[in-house]
Amino acid sequence: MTRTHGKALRAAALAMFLVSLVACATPPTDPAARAEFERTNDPIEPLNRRVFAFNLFLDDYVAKPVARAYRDNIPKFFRDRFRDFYDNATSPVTFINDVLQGQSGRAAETATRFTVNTTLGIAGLFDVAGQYGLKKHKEDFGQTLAVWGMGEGPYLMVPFLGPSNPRDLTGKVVDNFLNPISYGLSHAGVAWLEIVAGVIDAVDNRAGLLEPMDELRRTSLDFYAAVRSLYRQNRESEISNGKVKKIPLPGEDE
Amino acid sequence: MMPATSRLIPALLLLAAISAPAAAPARADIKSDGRTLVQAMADKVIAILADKGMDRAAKEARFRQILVQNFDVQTIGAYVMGPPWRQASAAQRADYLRLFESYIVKVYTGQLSNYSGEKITVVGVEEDGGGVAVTSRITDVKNDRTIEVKWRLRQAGAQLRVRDVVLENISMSLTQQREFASVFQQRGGTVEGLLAALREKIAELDKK
Repeated sequence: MTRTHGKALRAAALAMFLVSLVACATPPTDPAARAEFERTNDPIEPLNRRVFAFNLFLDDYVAKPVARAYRDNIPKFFRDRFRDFYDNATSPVTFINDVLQGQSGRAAETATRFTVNTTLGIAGLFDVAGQYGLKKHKEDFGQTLAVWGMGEGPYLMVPFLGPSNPRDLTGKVVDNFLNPISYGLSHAGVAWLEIVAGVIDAVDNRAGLLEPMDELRRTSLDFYAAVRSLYRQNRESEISNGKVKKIPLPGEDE
Repeated sequence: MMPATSRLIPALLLLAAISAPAAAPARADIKSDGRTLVQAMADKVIAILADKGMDRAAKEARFRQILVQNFDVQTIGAYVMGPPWRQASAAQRADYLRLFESYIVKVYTGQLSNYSGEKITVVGVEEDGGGVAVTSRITDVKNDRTIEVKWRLRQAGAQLRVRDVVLENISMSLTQQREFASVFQQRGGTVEGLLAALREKIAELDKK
Protein backbone atom coordinates (compact mmCIF):
# COMPACT_ATOMS: atom_id res chain seq x y z
CA MET A 1 0.00 0.00 0.00
CA THR A 2 2.80 2.43 0.87
CA ARG A 3 4.55 1.77 -2.44
CA THR A 4 1.36 2.29 -4.50
CA HIS A 5 0.65 5.54 -2.67
CA GLY A 6 4.23 6.64 -3.02
CA LYS A 7 4.15 5.98 -6.76
CA ALA A 8 0.96 7.94 -7.33
CA LEU A 9 2.10 10.80 -5.12
CA ARG A 10 5.43 11.01 -6.92
CA ALA A 11 3.66 11.05 -10.26
CA ALA A 12 1.34 13.81 -9.11
CA ALA A 13 4.21 15.82 -7.63
CA LEU A 14 6.23 15.47 -10.81
CA ALA A 15 3.27 16.54 -12.91
CA MET A 16 2.63 19.61 -10.79
CA PHE A 17 6.31 20.55 -10.80
CA LEU A 18 6.53 20.27 -14.57
CA VAL A 19 3.36 22.28 -15.06
CA SER A 20 4.76 25.06 -12.91
CA LEU A 21 7.96 25.06 -15.01
CA VAL A 22 6.16 25.45 -18.30
CA ALA A 23 3.17 27.41 -17.04
CA CYS A 24 4.44 30.45 -18.91
CA ALA A 25 3.71 28.94 -22.39
CA THR A 26 2.57 31.91 -24.49
CA PRO A 27 -0.82 31.73 -26.22
CA PRO A 28 -1.03 32.80 -29.91
CA THR A 29 -1.93 36.41 -30.81
CA ASP A 30 -4.11 35.72 -33.87
CA PRO A 31 -7.72 35.76 -32.55
CA ALA A 32 -8.79 32.57 -34.35
CA ALA A 33 -5.69 30.72 -33.19
CA ARG A 34 -6.16 32.15 -29.72
CA ALA A 35 -9.76 30.90 -29.55
CA GLU A 36 -8.60 27.46 -30.63
CA PHE A 37 -5.80 27.53 -28.03
CA GLU A 38 -8.23 28.33 -25.22
CA ARG A 39 -10.71 25.71 -26.38
CA THR A 40 -8.03 23.02 -26.55
CA ASN A 41 -6.85 23.92 -23.04
CA ASP A 42 -3.44 22.29 -23.39
CA PRO A 43 -1.00 25.07 -22.43
CA ILE A 44 1.94 22.69 -21.94
CA GLU A 45 1.36 20.86 -25.21
CA PRO A 46 5.03 20.76 -26.32
CA LEU A 47 6.00 19.04 -23.07
CA ASN A 48 2.93 16.81 -23.15
CA ARG A 49 3.82 15.66 -26.66
CA ARG A 50 7.31 14.65 -25.54
CA VAL A 51 5.89 12.67 -22.62
CA PHE A 52 3.40 11.09 -25.03
CA ALA A 53 6.26 9.97 -27.27
CA PHE A 54 7.91 8.43 -24.21
CA ASN A 55 4.69 6.66 -23.20
CA LEU A 56 4.29 5.29 -26.74
CA PHE A 57 7.83 3.94 -26.59
CA LEU A 58 6.99 2.16 -23.31
CA ASP A 59 3.75 0.94 -24.85
CA ASP A 60 5.49 -0.49 -27.92
CA TYR A 61 8.29 -2.21 -26.04
CA VAL A 62 6.69 -3.24 -22.76
CA ALA A 63 2.92 -2.83 -22.41
CA LYS A 64 1.79 -4.15 -25.80
CA PRO A 65 3.99 -7.27 -25.90
CA VAL A 66 2.98 -8.16 -22.34
CA ALA A 67 -0.70 -7.52 -23.06
CA ARG A 68 -0.55 -9.61 -26.21
CA ALA A 69 1.15 -12.47 -24.37
CA TYR A 70 -1.45 -12.20 -21.61
CA ARG A 71 -4.36 -12.39 -24.05
CA ASP A 72 -2.82 -15.18 -26.13
CA ASN A 73 -1.68 -17.40 -23.26
CA ILE A 74 -4.17 -16.97 -20.44
CA PRO A 75 -7.53 -18.59 -21.27
CA LYS A 76 -10.50 -16.24 -21.28
CA PHE A 77 -12.06 -18.07 -18.31
CA PHE A 78 -9.14 -17.11 -16.05
CA ARG A 79 -8.87 -13.58 -17.43
CA ASP A 80 -12.58 -13.12 -16.67
CA ARG A 81 -12.08 -14.49 -13.14
CA PHE A 82 -9.32 -11.98 -12.48
CA ARG A 83 -11.42 -9.16 -13.92
CA ASP A 84 -14.42 -10.06 -11.74
CA PHE A 85 -12.22 -10.49 -8.66
CA TYR A 86 -10.35 -7.23 -9.13
CA ASP A 87 -13.44 -5.16 -9.92
CA ASN A 88 -15.09 -6.60 -6.83
CA ALA A 89 -12.06 -5.91 -4.60
CA THR A 90 -11.94 -2.29 -5.79
CA SER A 91 -15.70 -1.70 -5.55
CA PRO A 92 -15.44 -0.14 -2.04
CA VAL A 93 -13.85 2.84 -3.82
CA THR A 94 -16.84 2.97 -6.17
CA PHE A 95 -19.20 2.70 -3.20
CA ILE A 96 -17.61 5.62 -1.37
CA ASN A 97 -17.69 7.78 -4.48
CA ASP A 98 -21.33 6.83 -5.19
CA VAL A 99 -22.14 8.11 -1.67
CA LEU A 100 -20.05 11.27 -2.06
CA GLN A 101 -21.94 12.04 -5.27
CA GLY A 102 -25.26 11.59 -3.52
CA GLN A 103 -26.16 8.59 -5.68
CA SER A 104 -27.90 6.44 -3.07
CA GLY A 105 -29.43 4.08 -5.63
CA ARG A 106 -26.11 3.35 -7.27
CA ALA A 107 -24.42 3.07 -3.87
CA ALA A 108 -26.98 0.45 -2.86
CA GLU A 109 -26.31 -1.45 -6.11
CA THR A 110 -22.58 -1.41 -5.47
CA ALA A 111 -23.04 -2.61 -1.89
CA THR A 112 -25.39 -5.40 -2.97
CA ARG A 113 -23.04 -6.47 -5.74
CA PHE A 114 -20.13 -6.58 -3.33
CA THR A 115 -22.04 -8.66 -0.79
CA VAL A 116 -23.45 -11.13 -3.33
CA ASN A 117 -20.24 -11.53 -5.30
CA THR A 118 -17.99 -11.88 -2.25
CA THR A 119 -20.19 -14.63 -0.81
CA LEU A 120 -22.02 -16.44 -3.62
CA GLY A 121 -19.39 -15.36 -6.12
CA ILE A 122 -16.57 -16.90 -4.07
CA ALA A 123 -14.47 -13.92 -2.95
CA GLY A 124 -15.60 -11.99 -6.02
CA LEU A 125 -14.25 -14.47 -8.58
CA PHE A 126 -17.66 -14.73 -10.20
CA ASP A 127 -19.88 -11.77 -11.03
CA VAL A 128 -23.03 -13.52 -9.85
CA ALA A 129 -24.84 -10.22 -9.23
CA GLY A 130 -24.18 -9.20 -12.82
CA GLN A 131 -25.79 -12.37 -14.08
CA TYR A 132 -28.90 -11.45 -12.11
CA GLY A 133 -29.12 -8.10 -13.86
CA LEU A 134 -27.26 -5.90 -11.36
CA LYS A 135 -24.59 -4.61 -13.72
CA LYS A 136 -21.33 -3.15 -12.46
CA HIS A 137 -20.36 0.49 -12.72
CA LYS A 138 -17.21 2.34 -11.76
CA GLU A 139 -16.79 5.60 -9.89
CA ASP A 140 -13.60 7.40 -8.92
CA PHE A 141 -12.81 10.53 -6.97
CA GLY A 142 -12.00 12.43 -10.18
CA GLN A 143 -15.62 11.89 -11.24
CA THR A 144 -16.78 12.93 -7.77
CA LEU A 145 -14.82 16.18 -8.01
CA ALA A 146 -16.42 16.80 -11.42
CA VAL A 147 -19.90 16.19 -9.99
CA TRP A 148 -19.06 18.61 -7.18
CA GLY A 149 -18.38 21.23 -9.84
CA MET A 150 -14.62 21.15 -10.30
CA GLY A 151 -13.46 21.78 -13.85
CA GLU A 152 -10.91 19.42 -15.38
CA GLY A 153 -8.13 21.96 -15.80
CA PRO A 154 -5.40 21.82 -18.46
CA TYR A 155 -4.58 18.58 -20.24
CA LEU A 156 -1.75 16.58 -18.70
CA MET A 157 0.09 13.69 -20.30
CA VAL A 158 1.49 11.83 -17.32
CA PRO A 159 4.50 9.50 -17.65
CA PHE A 160 3.35 5.86 -17.37
CA LEU A 161 -0.21 6.77 -16.40
CA GLY A 162 -1.15 8.42 -19.69
CA PRO A 163 -3.71 11.18 -20.36
CA SER A 164 -5.08 13.07 -17.38
CA ASN A 165 -5.65 16.52 -15.89
CA PRO A 166 -5.17 18.10 -12.43
CA ARG A 167 -8.65 17.08 -11.24
CA ASP A 168 -8.45 13.44 -12.37
CA LEU A 169 -4.89 13.08 -11.13
CA THR A 170 -5.89 14.38 -7.72
CA GLY A 171 -8.76 11.88 -7.86
CA LYS A 172 -6.36 9.01 -8.50
CA VAL A 173 -4.23 9.98 -5.51
CA VAL A 174 -7.26 10.22 -3.21
CA ASP A 175 -8.68 6.89 -4.43
CA ASN A 176 -5.46 5.25 -3.28
CA PHE A 177 -6.41 6.05 0.29
CA LEU A 178 -10.07 5.04 0.03
CA ASN A 179 -10.06 1.27 -0.09
CA PRO A 180 -10.40 -0.49 3.28
CA ILE A 181 -9.15 -3.69 1.66
CA SER A 182 -5.80 -1.98 0.97
CA TYR A 183 -5.37 -1.27 4.65
CA GLY A 184 -6.28 -4.86 5.45
CA LEU A 185 -3.63 -6.17 3.06
CA SER A 186 -1.03 -3.83 4.53
CA HIS A 187 -1.90 -4.95 8.00
CA ALA A 188 -1.52 -8.58 6.97
CA GLY A 189 1.90 -7.76 5.53
CA VAL A 190 0.92 -8.57 1.94
CA ALA A 191 0.72 -5.07 0.47
CA TRP A 192 2.69 -6.32 -2.54
CA LEU A 193 -0.38 -8.34 -3.59
CA GLU A 194 -2.13 -5.10 -4.36
CA ILE A 195 0.73 -3.95 -6.58
CA VAL A 196 0.74 -7.25 -8.49
CA ALA A 197 -3.03 -7.03 -8.94
CA GLY A 198 -2.69 -3.44 -10.16
CA VAL A 199 -0.19 -4.50 -12.78
CA ILE A 200 -2.36 -7.36 -14.04
CA ASP A 201 -5.30 -4.94 -14.16
CA ALA A 202 -3.28 -2.57 -16.35
CA VAL A 203 -2.20 -5.44 -18.60
CA ASP A 204 -5.74 -6.77 -18.91
CA ASN A 205 -7.07 -3.30 -19.78
CA ARG A 206 -4.37 -2.85 -22.39
CA ALA A 207 -5.15 -6.26 -23.88
CA GLY A 208 -8.74 -5.20 -24.48
CA LEU A 209 -7.70 -2.34 -26.75
CA LEU A 210 -4.84 -3.74 -28.81
CA GLU A 211 -6.35 -3.68 -32.30
CA PRO A 212 -8.48 -0.52 -32.02
CA MET A 213 -5.57 1.51 -30.64
CA ASP A 214 -3.15 0.24 -33.29
CA GLU A 215 -5.67 1.06 -35.98
CA LEU A 216 -6.30 4.54 -34.58
CA ARG A 217 -2.58 5.21 -34.40
CA ARG A 218 -2.13 4.06 -37.98
CA THR A 219 -4.87 6.25 -39.43
CA SER A 220 -4.71 9.32 -37.17
CA LEU A 221 -3.80 12.63 -38.70
CA ASP A 222 -2.60 13.61 -35.24
CA PHE A 223 -2.58 10.70 -32.79
CA TYR A 224 -1.73 12.92 -29.81
CA ALA A 225 -4.74 15.18 -30.51
CA ALA A 226 -6.98 12.14 -31.09
CA VAL A 227 -6.02 10.60 -27.73
CA ARG A 228 -6.57 13.95 -26.01
CA SER A 229 -10.08 14.26 -27.45
CA LEU A 230 -10.93 10.60 -26.76
CA TYR A 231 -9.81 10.92 -23.14
CA ARG A 232 -11.97 13.98 -22.57
CA GLN A 233 -15.06 12.59 -24.30
CA ASN A 234 -14.73 9.33 -22.40
CA ARG A 235 -14.43 11.15 -19.07
CA GLU A 236 -17.49 13.22 -19.92
CA SER A 237 -19.38 9.96 -20.50
CA GLU A 238 -18.13 8.45 -17.23
CA ILE A 239 -18.93 11.56 -15.21
CA SER A 240 -22.49 11.73 -16.52
CA ASN A 241 -22.88 7.96 -16.10
CA GLY A 242 -23.42 7.39 -19.80
CA LYS A 243 -26.00 10.13 -20.24
CA VAL A 244 -24.05 12.90 -21.97
CA LYS A 245 -26.37 15.84 -22.35
CA LYS A 246 -25.17 17.31 -25.61
CA ILE A 247 -22.87 15.83 -28.22
CA PRO A 248 -22.29 18.39 -31.01
CA LEU A 249 -23.51 17.37 -34.46
CA PRO A 250 -22.04 18.36 -37.84
CA GLY A 251 -24.33 20.85 -39.52
CA GLU A 252 -26.02 21.91 -36.28
CA ASP A 253 -23.23 22.86 -33.90
CA GLU A 254 -19.79 24.36 -34.31
CA MET B 1 -32.42 -12.79 -38.16
CA MET B 2 -31.70 -9.79 -40.32
CA PRO B 3 -33.64 -10.79 -43.50
CA ALA B 4 -36.62 -11.48 -41.20
CA THR B 5 -36.32 -8.01 -39.72
CA SER B 6 -36.32 -6.32 -43.11
CA ARG B 7 -39.42 -8.25 -44.15
CA LEU B 8 -41.09 -7.36 -40.86
CA ILE B 9 -40.64 -3.63 -41.32
CA PRO B 10 -42.85 -3.24 -44.43
CA ALA B 11 -45.49 -5.36 -42.69
CA LEU B 12 -45.38 -3.16 -39.59
CA LEU B 13 -45.49 -0.02 -41.71
CA LEU B 14 -48.64 -1.29 -43.44
CA LEU B 15 -50.19 -2.09 -40.08
CA ALA B 16 -49.25 1.34 -38.74
CA ALA B 17 -50.71 3.04 -41.81
CA ILE B 18 -54.01 1.22 -41.37
CA SER B 19 -54.40 1.54 -37.62
CA ALA B 20 -52.57 4.71 -36.57
CA PRO B 21 -54.30 8.12 -36.45
CA ALA B 22 -53.39 10.54 -39.25
CA ALA B 23 -51.23 12.77 -37.01
CA ALA B 24 -48.67 10.06 -36.11
CA PRO B 25 -47.17 8.83 -39.43
CA ALA B 26 -44.34 11.39 -39.91
CA ARG B 27 -42.45 10.37 -36.79
CA ALA B 28 -43.00 6.65 -37.35
CA ASP B 29 -41.71 7.01 -40.91
CA ILE B 30 -38.44 8.72 -40.02
CA LYS B 31 -37.70 6.14 -37.34
CA SER B 32 -38.32 3.17 -39.56
CA ASP B 33 -36.46 4.86 -42.43
CA GLY B 34 -33.50 5.28 -40.14
CA ARG B 35 -33.63 1.69 -38.98
CA THR B 36 -33.89 0.44 -42.56
CA LEU B 37 -30.97 2.58 -43.69
CA VAL B 38 -28.62 1.42 -40.94
CA GLN B 39 -29.66 -2.22 -41.24
CA ALA B 40 -29.12 -2.12 -45.03
CA MET B 41 -25.69 -0.54 -44.49
CA ALA B 42 -24.84 -3.16 -41.87
CA ASP B 43 -25.88 -6.01 -44.17
CA LYS B 44 -23.71 -4.65 -46.97
CA VAL B 45 -20.74 -4.13 -44.63
CA ILE B 46 -20.98 -7.66 -43.26
CA ALA B 47 -21.10 -9.07 -46.78
CA ILE B 48 -17.93 -7.17 -47.67
CA LEU B 49 -16.08 -8.20 -44.51
CA ALA B 50 -17.12 -11.83 -44.96
CA ASP B 51 -15.78 -11.92 -48.51
CA LYS B 52 -12.30 -13.34 -48.00
CA GLY B 53 -11.55 -13.13 -51.70
CA MET B 54 -11.75 -9.33 -51.83
CA ASP B 55 -8.46 -7.47 -51.63
CA ARG B 56 -8.10 -4.21 -49.70
CA ALA B 57 -8.51 -1.97 -52.72
CA ALA B 58 -11.76 -3.70 -53.71
CA LYS B 59 -13.03 -3.50 -50.11
CA GLU B 60 -12.24 0.21 -50.01
CA ALA B 61 -14.06 0.79 -53.30
CA ARG B 62 -17.16 -0.98 -51.95
CA PHE B 63 -17.00 0.94 -48.64
CA ARG B 64 -16.66 4.18 -50.59
CA GLN B 65 -19.91 3.39 -52.42
CA ILE B 66 -21.70 2.79 -49.12
CA LEU B 67 -20.24 6.00 -47.68
CA VAL B 68 -21.23 8.19 -50.61
CA GLN B 69 -24.75 6.75 -50.66
CA ASN B 70 -25.44 7.03 -46.93
CA PHE B 71 -23.23 9.70 -45.36
CA ASP B 72 -23.57 13.47 -45.61
CA VAL B 73 -19.89 13.83 -46.51
CA GLN B 74 -20.12 17.54 -47.34
CA THR B 75 -21.64 18.50 -43.98
CA ILE B 76 -19.31 16.23 -42.01
CA GLY B 77 -16.29 17.49 -43.95
CA ALA B 78 -17.11 21.15 -43.36
CA TYR B 79 -17.61 20.48 -39.65
CA VAL B 80 -14.37 18.52 -39.31
CA MET B 81 -12.38 21.27 -41.02
CA GLY B 82 -13.84 23.78 -38.57
CA PRO B 83 -13.42 27.60 -38.80
CA PRO B 84 -10.94 27.43 -41.75
CA TRP B 85 -13.83 26.24 -43.97
CA ARG B 86 -15.14 29.81 -44.06
CA GLN B 87 -11.83 31.12 -45.41
CA ALA B 88 -11.37 28.32 -47.93
CA SER B 89 -11.99 29.04 -51.61
CA ALA B 90 -14.44 26.97 -53.68
CA ALA B 91 -11.51 25.14 -55.29
CA GLN B 92 -9.93 24.40 -51.92
CA ARG B 93 -13.25 23.15 -50.55
CA ALA B 94 -13.73 20.81 -53.52
CA ASP B 95 -10.16 19.57 -53.16
CA TYR B 96 -10.62 19.07 -49.44
CA LEU B 97 -13.91 17.17 -49.73
CA ARG B 98 -12.36 14.82 -52.27
CA LEU B 99 -9.40 14.15 -49.97
CA PHE B 100 -11.62 13.96 -46.88
CA GLU B 101 -13.84 11.34 -48.49
CA SER B 102 -10.83 9.17 -49.38
CA TYR B 103 -9.43 9.63 -45.91
CA ILE B 104 -12.52 8.52 -44.00
CA VAL B 105 -13.08 5.59 -46.35
CA LYS B 106 -9.61 4.35 -45.43
CA VAL B 107 -10.16 5.01 -41.72
CA TYR B 108 -13.49 3.14 -41.60
CA THR B 109 -12.20 0.28 -43.77
CA GLY B 110 -9.35 -0.22 -41.33
CA GLN B 111 -11.47 -0.01 -38.20
CA LEU B 112 -14.16 -2.32 -39.54
CA SER B 113 -11.64 -4.99 -40.52
CA ASN B 114 -11.04 -5.50 -36.80
CA TYR B 115 -14.60 -6.62 -36.32
CA SER B 116 -14.64 -9.74 -38.51
CA GLY B 117 -18.22 -8.89 -39.49
CA GLU B 118 -19.84 -11.49 -37.28
CA LYS B 119 -22.83 -9.49 -36.14
CA ILE B 120 -24.05 -5.97 -36.60
CA THR B 121 -27.61 -5.72 -35.30
CA VAL B 122 -29.88 -2.72 -34.91
CA VAL B 123 -31.15 -2.59 -31.34
CA GLY B 124 -33.02 0.71 -31.16
CA VAL B 125 -34.17 3.92 -32.83
CA GLU B 126 -34.97 7.15 -31.04
CA GLU B 127 -35.72 10.74 -31.89
CA ASP B 128 -32.61 12.88 -31.93
CA GLY B 129 -33.17 16.60 -32.28
CA GLY B 130 -34.31 17.15 -35.84
CA GLY B 131 -33.63 13.58 -36.92
CA VAL B 132 -33.07 10.12 -35.54
CA ALA B 133 -30.36 8.15 -33.78
CA VAL B 134 -30.14 4.46 -34.62
CA THR B 135 -28.29 2.26 -32.13
CA SER B 136 -26.58 -0.89 -33.32
CA ARG B 137 -24.42 -3.48 -31.63
CA ILE B 138 -21.20 -4.75 -33.17
CA THR B 139 -19.46 -7.86 -31.85
CA ASP B 140 -15.72 -7.72 -31.30
CA VAL B 141 -14.95 -11.41 -31.68
CA LYS B 142 -11.30 -11.24 -30.59
CA ASN B 143 -12.12 -9.73 -27.22
CA ASP B 144 -15.57 -11.26 -26.88
CA ARG B 145 -17.17 -7.89 -26.38
CA THR B 146 -20.02 -5.95 -27.89
CA ILE B 147 -19.78 -2.28 -28.72
CA GLU B 148 -22.71 0.09 -29.05
CA VAL B 149 -22.61 2.31 -32.09
CA LYS B 150 -25.03 5.18 -32.48
CA TRP B 151 -25.71 6.48 -36.00
CA ARG B 152 -27.01 10.04 -35.95
CA LEU B 153 -29.08 10.76 -39.04
CA ARG B 154 -30.53 13.92 -40.54
CA GLN B 155 -32.66 14.60 -43.58
CA ALA B 156 -30.65 15.65 -46.65
CA GLY B 157 -33.15 16.36 -49.39
CA ALA B 158 -35.28 13.28 -49.96
CA GLN B 159 -33.00 10.97 -48.02
CA LEU B 160 -31.78 10.40 -44.47
CA ARG B 161 -28.00 10.57 -44.19
CA VAL B 162 -25.44 9.81 -41.49
CA ARG B 163 -23.94 12.93 -39.89
CA ASP B 164 -21.99 11.29 -37.07
CA VAL B 165 -21.03 7.88 -35.69
CA VAL B 166 -20.89 7.76 -31.90
CA LEU B 167 -19.13 4.89 -30.11
CA GLU B 168 -19.99 4.66 -26.43
CA ASN B 169 -20.68 8.41 -26.27
CA ILE B 170 -17.52 9.25 -28.21
CA SER B 171 -18.20 11.18 -31.41
CA MET B 172 -16.02 10.23 -34.39
CA SER B 173 -16.70 13.57 -36.09
CA LEU B 174 -15.76 15.57 -32.99
CA THR B 175 -12.56 13.57 -32.50
CA GLN B 176 -11.60 14.17 -36.13
CA GLN B 177 -12.42 17.87 -35.80
CA ARG B 178 -10.04 18.17 -32.85
CA GLU B 179 -7.32 16.39 -34.82
CA PHE B 180 -7.79 18.56 -37.91
CA ALA B 181 -7.76 21.73 -35.79
CA SER B 182 -4.46 20.64 -34.27
CA VAL B 183 -2.92 19.82 -37.65
CA PHE B 184 -4.15 23.13 -39.11
CA GLN B 185 -2.27 25.02 -36.39
CA GLN B 186 0.85 22.92 -36.78
CA ARG B 187 0.94 23.42 -40.56
CA GLY B 188 1.14 27.20 -40.35
CA GLY B 189 -2.58 27.93 -40.00
CA THR B 190 -3.37 27.68 -43.72
CA VAL B 191 -5.88 25.59 -45.64
CA GLU B 192 -3.10 24.51 -48.01
CA GLY B 193 -1.15 23.21 -45.05
CA LEU B 194 -4.08 21.09 -43.92
CA LEU B 195 -4.64 19.75 -47.45
CA ALA B 196 -0.96 18.84 -47.67
CA ALA B 197 -1.19 16.93 -44.40
CA LEU B 198 -4.26 15.05 -45.68
CA ARG B 199 -2.52 14.18 -48.96
CA GLU B 200 0.52 12.89 -47.10
CA LYS B 201 -1.59 10.76 -44.77
CA ILE B 202 -3.58 9.22 -47.62
CA ALA B 203 -0.36 8.40 -49.48
CA GLU B 204 1.04 6.86 -46.30
CA LEU B 205 -2.08 4.73 -45.78
CA ASP B 206 -1.96 3.56 -49.39
CA LYS B 207 1.58 2.33 -49.02
CA LYS B 208 0.91 -0.16 -46.19
